[in-house]
Amino acid sequence: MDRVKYILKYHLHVILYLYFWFGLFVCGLAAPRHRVEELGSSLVSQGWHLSLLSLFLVLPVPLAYLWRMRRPRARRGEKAPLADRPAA
Amino acid sequence: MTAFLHQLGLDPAFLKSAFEWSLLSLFLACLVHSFWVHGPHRTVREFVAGFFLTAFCESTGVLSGAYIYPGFTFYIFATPVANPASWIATVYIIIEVTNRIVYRDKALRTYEADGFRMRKENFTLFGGSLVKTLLVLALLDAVFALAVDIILDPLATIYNWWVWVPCSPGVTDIGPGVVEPYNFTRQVFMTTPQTWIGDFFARFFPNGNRYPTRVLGIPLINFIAWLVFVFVFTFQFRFVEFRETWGEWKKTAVLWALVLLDVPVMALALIIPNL
Repeated sequence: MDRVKYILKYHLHVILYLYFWFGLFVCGLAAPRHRVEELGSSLVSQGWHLSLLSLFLVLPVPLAYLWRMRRPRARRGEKAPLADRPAA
Repeated sequence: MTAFLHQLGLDPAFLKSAFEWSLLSLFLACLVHSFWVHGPHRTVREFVAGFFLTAFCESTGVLSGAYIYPGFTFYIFATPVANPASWIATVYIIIEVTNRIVYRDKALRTYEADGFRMRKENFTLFGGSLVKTLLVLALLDAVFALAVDIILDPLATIYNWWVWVPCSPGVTDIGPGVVEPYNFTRQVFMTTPQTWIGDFFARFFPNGNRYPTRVLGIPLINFIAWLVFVFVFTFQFRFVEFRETWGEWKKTAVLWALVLLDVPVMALALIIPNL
C-alpha cells in the first residue's frame, strides 16, 4: 500500500502522460478511414499513421522520464533520501 | 476495427461522452493530486489561472469563427468545460515531467507536503541565470505539449471533437451545414454564434480563405498558438513560483494579473495572423 501511495504521489504525472499517449495511440488505430480523409493530408491517410507518429513524438517524453529517474547502479544499494522513500 | 468497436457498444455517442468524461476525470485527478502534494494556495493559483486563461481565449477563438466545439454536455462561455479543465491538467502534468527530466531525482523533493521551500539557487541552471533557466524550462514544457497536440488535433478533426473553419473564398466562420453530426447526438454549437467579436475578427480575413497553411489538415496557426500559450503560461507560473521571498497571496495576485493581461494580448496576436 505504501508503495502504491509513493508511486501515486511522486510519479502520477508520468502515469497520466502515458495514459494520454495510450489514448492517442488507440484512437489512431480505431480511426475510420472516411474520417481520416477529412484531414486532406498526404502524410496521414490512415489512422495508424497517427499512432505511428505518436511513437516518435509523444512516447519519447515518458521514456526520457524513466531514463532520467532511474537510480544509478552505484546508488541502488544505498538508502534513498527520506522524501523519496516509501514509509517502511 | 470501427465495426468491432461499435459491436462492443462503443458507438459514436458513447465515444463523445467518453472523451468529455475522460478529460474531466483527468482534471479532477490532477486537482486532487495538487491539493495533496502542493496544498491549497499553489493549487488554486495554478488551476484557476490556467482554467480561465484557456476558457477566455478558447471562447474568443470560437466567437471569432476559427473553430467550434459541437455536441458537448457542459459548456463555459462557448467552450466545453472539458477543454480548459484538461488544458490546465495537461500543463500540470508536463511541468512536473519537465522538472524530473531536467533535475532528475532532485525534483522529487519539491512538494510543500514534504516541507519543501523554494531556494532558487538550488534550481537555477546556466551558472545561476534565472531568466535563462525559466526560458529553457518553459520551452521544454511547450515542446512536450506541442508533441501531444500534433497528434491530438488531427484526431479531434477525425472524431469531430472540434471543427476548424473551412479554407474557402469568402468563408470567415462556420456556417450552417458545415458540421456533420458525426460522433455526437446533442446538436449544440453547430455554427459560430453571431456576436460583435465575430464581426470584429472578420475584417482581418476580407477574402475568406482563413488559415490556408494546414499541417496534417490542421491550421499551422493552431500549433503556433499552442506552443506560445504553454510557453507563456509556464514561464509566468514558474517565475512566480521561483519568488522565494513572495508570500502566497502576492504570488496569486501577480499570476492572475498576468493572466488577465495575457487574454486580450494572446487572443489578438494568435487569431489575427492569416498564415
